[in-house]
Amino acid sequence: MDQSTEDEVLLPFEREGSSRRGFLQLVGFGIAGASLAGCSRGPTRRAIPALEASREFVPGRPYWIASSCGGCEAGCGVLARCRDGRPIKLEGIPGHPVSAGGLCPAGQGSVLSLYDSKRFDGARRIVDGRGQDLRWSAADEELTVILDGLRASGGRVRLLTSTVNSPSTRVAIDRFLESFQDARHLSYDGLSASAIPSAHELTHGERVLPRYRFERAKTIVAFDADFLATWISPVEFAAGYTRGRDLDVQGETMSRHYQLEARTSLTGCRADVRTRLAPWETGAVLSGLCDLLEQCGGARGPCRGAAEHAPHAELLVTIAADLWETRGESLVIAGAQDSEVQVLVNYANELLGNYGATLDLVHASQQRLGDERELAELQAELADEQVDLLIVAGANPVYDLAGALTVERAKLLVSCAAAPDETSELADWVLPEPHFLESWNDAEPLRGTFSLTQPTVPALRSGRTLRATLAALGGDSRPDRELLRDHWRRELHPRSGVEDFDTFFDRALDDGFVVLDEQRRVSDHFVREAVHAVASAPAPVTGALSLVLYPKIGMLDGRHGHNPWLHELPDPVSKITWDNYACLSPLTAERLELEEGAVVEIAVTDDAAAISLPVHVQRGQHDGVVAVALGYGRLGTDRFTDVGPQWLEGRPTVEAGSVIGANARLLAVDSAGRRLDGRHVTLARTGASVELAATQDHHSLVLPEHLAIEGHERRDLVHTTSFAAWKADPHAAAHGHDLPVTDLWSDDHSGDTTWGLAIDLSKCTGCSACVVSCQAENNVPVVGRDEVRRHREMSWLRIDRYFEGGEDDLRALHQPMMCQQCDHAPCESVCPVLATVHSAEGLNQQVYNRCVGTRYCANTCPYKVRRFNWFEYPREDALQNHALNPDVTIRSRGVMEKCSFCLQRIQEAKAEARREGRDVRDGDITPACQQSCPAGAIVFGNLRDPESRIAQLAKRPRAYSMLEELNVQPSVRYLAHVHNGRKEEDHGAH
Amino acid sequence: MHTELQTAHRPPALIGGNKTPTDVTRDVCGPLERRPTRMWWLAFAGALTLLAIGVVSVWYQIATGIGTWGLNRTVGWGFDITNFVFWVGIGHAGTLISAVLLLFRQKWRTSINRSAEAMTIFAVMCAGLFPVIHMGRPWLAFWVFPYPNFRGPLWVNWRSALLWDVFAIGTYFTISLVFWYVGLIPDLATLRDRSRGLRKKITGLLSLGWDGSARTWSRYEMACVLLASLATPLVVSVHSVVSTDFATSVVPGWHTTVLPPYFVIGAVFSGFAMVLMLMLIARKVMNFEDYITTVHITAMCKVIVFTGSIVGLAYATELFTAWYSGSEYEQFAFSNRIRGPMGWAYAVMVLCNVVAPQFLWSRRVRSSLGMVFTITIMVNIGMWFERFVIIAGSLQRDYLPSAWSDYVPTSIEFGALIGGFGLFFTLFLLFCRFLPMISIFEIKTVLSGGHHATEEVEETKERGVA
Amino acid sequence: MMALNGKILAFFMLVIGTVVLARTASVRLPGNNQGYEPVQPIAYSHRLHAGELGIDCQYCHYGAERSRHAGIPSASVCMNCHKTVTSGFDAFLEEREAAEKEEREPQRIVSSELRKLFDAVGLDEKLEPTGELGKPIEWVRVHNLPDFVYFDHRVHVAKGLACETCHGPVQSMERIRQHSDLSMGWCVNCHRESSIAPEGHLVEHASTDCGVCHY
Repeated sequence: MDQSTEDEVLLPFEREGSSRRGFLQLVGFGIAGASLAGCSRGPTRRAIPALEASREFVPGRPYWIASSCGGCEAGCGVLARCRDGRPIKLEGIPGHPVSAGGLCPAGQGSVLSLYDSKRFDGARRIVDGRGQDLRWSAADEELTVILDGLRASGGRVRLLTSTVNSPSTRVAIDRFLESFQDARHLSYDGLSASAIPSAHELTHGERVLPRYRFERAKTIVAFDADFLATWISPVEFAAGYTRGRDLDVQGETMSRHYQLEARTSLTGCRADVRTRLAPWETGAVLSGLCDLLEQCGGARGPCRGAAEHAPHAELLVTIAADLWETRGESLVIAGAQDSEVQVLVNYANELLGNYGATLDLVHASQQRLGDERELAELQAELADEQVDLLIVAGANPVYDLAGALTVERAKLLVSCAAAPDETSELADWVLPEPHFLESWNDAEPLRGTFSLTQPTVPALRSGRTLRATLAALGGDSRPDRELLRDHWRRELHPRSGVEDFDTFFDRALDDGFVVLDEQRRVSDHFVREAVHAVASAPAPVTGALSLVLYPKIGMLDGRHGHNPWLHELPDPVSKITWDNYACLSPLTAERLELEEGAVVEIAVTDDAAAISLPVHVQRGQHDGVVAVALGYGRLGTDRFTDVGPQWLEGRPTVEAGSVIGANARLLAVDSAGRRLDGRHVTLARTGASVELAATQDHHSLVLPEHLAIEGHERRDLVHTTSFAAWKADPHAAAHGHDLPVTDLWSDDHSGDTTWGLAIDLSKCTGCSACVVSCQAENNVPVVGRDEVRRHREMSWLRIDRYFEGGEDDLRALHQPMMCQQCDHAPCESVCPVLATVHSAEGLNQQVYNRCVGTRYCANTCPYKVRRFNWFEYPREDALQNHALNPDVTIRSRGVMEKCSFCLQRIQEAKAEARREGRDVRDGDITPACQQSCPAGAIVFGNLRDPESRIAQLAKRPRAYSMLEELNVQPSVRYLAHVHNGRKEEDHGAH
Repeated sequence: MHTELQTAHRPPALIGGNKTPTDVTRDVCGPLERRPTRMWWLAFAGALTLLAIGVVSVWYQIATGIGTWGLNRTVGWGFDITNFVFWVGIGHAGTLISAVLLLFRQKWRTSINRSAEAMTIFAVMCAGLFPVIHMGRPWLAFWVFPYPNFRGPLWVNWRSALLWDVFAIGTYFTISLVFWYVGLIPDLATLRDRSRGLRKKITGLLSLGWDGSARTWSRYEMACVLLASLATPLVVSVHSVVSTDFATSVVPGWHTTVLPPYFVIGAVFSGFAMVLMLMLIARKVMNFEDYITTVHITAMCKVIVFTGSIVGLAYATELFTAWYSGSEYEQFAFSNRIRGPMGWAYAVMVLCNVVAPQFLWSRRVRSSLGMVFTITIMVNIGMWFERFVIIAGSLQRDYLPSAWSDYVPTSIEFGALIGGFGLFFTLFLLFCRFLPMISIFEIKTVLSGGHHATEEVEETKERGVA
Repeated sequence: MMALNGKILAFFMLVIGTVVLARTASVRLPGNNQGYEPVQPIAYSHRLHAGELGIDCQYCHYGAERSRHAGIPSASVCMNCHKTVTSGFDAFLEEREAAEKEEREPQRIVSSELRKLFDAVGLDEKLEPTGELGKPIEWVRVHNLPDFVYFDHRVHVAKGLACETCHGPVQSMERIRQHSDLSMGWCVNCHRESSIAPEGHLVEHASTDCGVCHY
């Protein structure tokens, strides 16, 4: 084995002038092309090697490139796993201050957006509604002439963006705008949190968004903030939140989480104590809470007397007591977009001494910097046609503001949208931005934390970052990478203490991020004068409901509206895919005589705006509200017409020429372009009815009343207990059936390995990152709305969600469910052709190429985790085939498939171990679900290795297997769910 | 058989019309030698239409995917396996009549055993079709057979009940076919002797040089008894094996030891109902009133009411077992079966299988051909629903409530269901047209009047030699 | 009886004839490409390189040690030698003789096959860059496995398996040829045999789990 040849592989003359990009172009597309061509069984298959060999890239060997996620503004650090020159999977960077190794569903899904064939390719000028593609240089030339004119004439230039947390881009923006006499940068966020910085401006004198440290909080009180799913930085918060509740590490303490909310959010149904709060009462309740806290502190403050009139007075006393007991280690947050309310939140945190502890203003968050108030000014200018040039980047105001911001009235509108969107439709110029996986960028999500984004693939579409575009229009035509390095050299390198810039930059590039010492001083003076008690807002009149808009975990504000994975991801609360809908509480639905799927027209009482949506009856929601998800009704979603199989009785996912869902913002934007919360709306039945595509039909562990057998009304499938009960007796949750086990068969495998998975139900937040991660890793096809309706979703990993409790104390139990890899697998004994068999390592292997598709195995699977290929599932966008994982077989029609515990990763780890002449170590293998889990709820390993983490977990008293009494001996262990409900509410073990 | 002939007990009304052996030959062979009647053409056109619907549906399904059926991740079997079990069950009566009743020397079987056995073969053909087309990749269906291969070699899974099915059904079909064919040989010789031209050539080839000699008869008789003995255990084994598809799995509602006898008796029950239904039509259409008399009908009605009552008992046993098991899943499966979303199918099943046959206790009902015909149809519908309730109704809601799902069949599935009947009737009508529907030589052994049957046998022998 | 015997004889003759024909015409089952020996874009000789010159397999196929794929060498790997060696030795000698005779400097001789290699990497006869972008060589893949089979070279190399075990006497093949039938039975039998440890030796268990190759 001659290994000394490595260095001679590259020729000196070839090394010169050959960039990695050039190499990637050659090797990546050479082999990708060959492998794609290889899919069709031609008479000959070609193998096209790269022209240049390389030390780093060996065909067939995966490699990782550190970067930053562009799925939202949270700025998680990601590692892109690449194969043969193209990224196929994203994972969080372990140790990254934001992502901490996890990644959310939207982040997982964003690798697919890279291969979106509908993205813009190069600059485009739109004249009379017809697009004209131009070379970038030509576009720059033309635009420079226009810009020079504006510079000379003092024309009004406006740049509208979402949060820009890239420091180098911010510098480029400043430099660009400086050259004009009247130029401004305005920013707003699709999912805005601007009321929080605004409140801090009032109370702390600085517009700052604190970094919330959930891991330090012992009591968490959240008002309508869905912080585990979509609020500001959910991956970071979920990781912190679970760390504060980790029964394995802390043992003695567990944070208590109160959630008061109007709709049923994912975070809410994970809370220890949850109650329904009318949105119009939030201010009054917070005032009451502040009053109670003032009383605890013996102070007399601005909220004096508010507790007397506050709704939920009894609960508030408990909350206040809990908060006071853990002052300095508690956290009060609110999702309301109302600075008066947010001032009260700040006040509560100030009273509790939480600033500096659970709210960090030094390493403040930069994830939401937009200021909505500026939009009104811009709208006024636009209305008067005073804007000469409007550049829109990273935002889609026409959609986000439902047309209220009349961007088309700017004399010249330049859009930097990556793919056609509502704003670019109206633009005069489109200067598209690239996908984050094919571009250079940086980000500072938290002050002092700097992330780098680097290309993982040669650009598939010709795009240019905002930084490069603005630099080019300002006459600086250096490549983007140089612009970035320049900024880092000047601004960040001096702070790093590293002598050599290249070393500093390369290390940051390697790690994906760098944390620099933050020297900022923050005033600790709290302006009490800013605090005022807030009374309840007027409740909706009879017949009207208060409108609550919320983002879904995958769609967010609609930016992922063209991503089929995220459309097909079941909402963690409603379990519905491919749509948005009007959520009503069961009581309200009954009162309005509306049933699931009935299409209603939602009309604003004091406005002409109206949209039509189907009704979804959502338990746990306040009776006075209707909740509608944002992000739907996006232009171009008619592309999903042909997603999924086409056949005689098949119905299209979306009618041709139509769009998926409706844009709920239409109801919540006034003519001045302001986005309004809690508008009052009325519902009217249209007469139409649709069948929503849900992946779960029965939402409770309690059986239907008329079918239940006495004594077995509830199936004890998700073990749950209270923290108090668990502390008193660690076995409290282990109420398994200790049945005598008799085996008919000898042990299926006798080796020293049994792969297993442990899932801590206390940690799992139900966020569904694992679901998308599994889909990306295992080439799970998208089947479309109609197939989901027919219960033929293909996800190998699903999250079962069972509601517990009544409307006022609703709680959800989430249970990730995948193949349990049973040792006595019922599926194995029934397959006539041995297509599913047991491995020597305890895996239940599914051999696709042997399967004839009798579906007998799926019938006998007690967990119903087997998935059948009912059709050949094509992708609506063939380019997206590049996101397929080459290490996993594409399953043909008519074969069964299921979770394999990421067998390809097991095999890869074993092959590497053998190559290095060692044994596989615990932790070498991480299946995709484990790797993406922000909460660290999933652990994979060898159950027969007593030293392994999983073996330790399996020994915990909380550990149990599903349906133990069947003696199928599953290899998945669940750790019982422990909640920290109020003592008087302790249910104890069931 | 000679001894049998001499001591044959001849119930007076077994064959009506005071037939002579010559009459029998003429009556049975006559329709085959004339042009088909309009009635036949009509029936045949109808059957072909059904078959065509089935062919188009199945073709579309194979070309497009199993997704064209209404199955889903939870309910993996619906119409397909229901049809399979239904048709296997239908087949049973034929074997029971031709083999078991032969061994038990039930003379009344002679009029119906030929067509009952033909029915068995066609029903098993229909049955065999469904497991093949229900596969995701039916073109690889041959993988269920153990054959030498270059995969290591890779064999089949002997633990799988589906594999046992392959052997059970394969054996059953083979034995039934051989038994039926052997039974046909003397009559084929008769046909050969009565015809000329191409028909003579074909029947001559098929009758394997039958000469009607005493030695031939003696050997023939031995072969028949042997085959009947071989076929008899199959009556019990085939449907027992089919029931293990369900009984050996962990699905609540399937996992129960009562299934094998339950399935066998249900099969006999539905098979008899089908035979009776076909006979009622055939005697009308083919003018066989003299051969298929009220004696036969009454006898079959009695079998139906007897087996129907056992089926009722099986239903009760099933419920008792579920209750007695104490298993919450088992109990829920039956609670759901009766009162759940498919409760209506359970009601149809009980009404048709348990309630309807009870009317046959009444002599008046038994003697009303219309009533009997209605009940036989109801039993067939009921037995189809029994399988449907067991299969889809059990799968629908098992252990995890999160995975519960409804099942709504598609038009393609109905097409396949119709096609099954189309295939069956098409084959049956072709059989009526080309082969003697009634065993000529056996009927002659039970004639009440006219010549002694042996004369006819002698006659056949002589002709055979000539 | 004679006629019948004749028929039986004829029948057996037919069966035997078919079997013999099948064997002699080496009828293979569909999917078995044993003996596949396609013409390659460059007449590269394994006999010369691996046999005569004794170059180690993994000098070129260096992926075998680190990756699932052994890989087909990049043109740059070929150029490691062929920037010096541009033609066969005979041609080189001939040119030297001719040059000596004509009393001139011997010219660089480029064989027609190597010409293709130089074209691919964008070099002219004098090995100067032509300025044109190179074009990768499109080799014809000889050893094809179905898409649902994952074979890993790295493990086999790590376990010390000789390349010839599967690829046959490559050092004697002018043009590369599929030596083994690459059927599943062929793989499995080898795995089975290597699981049997000779006395006193501990041989790593070569798994016959389906999931070793199919996932």
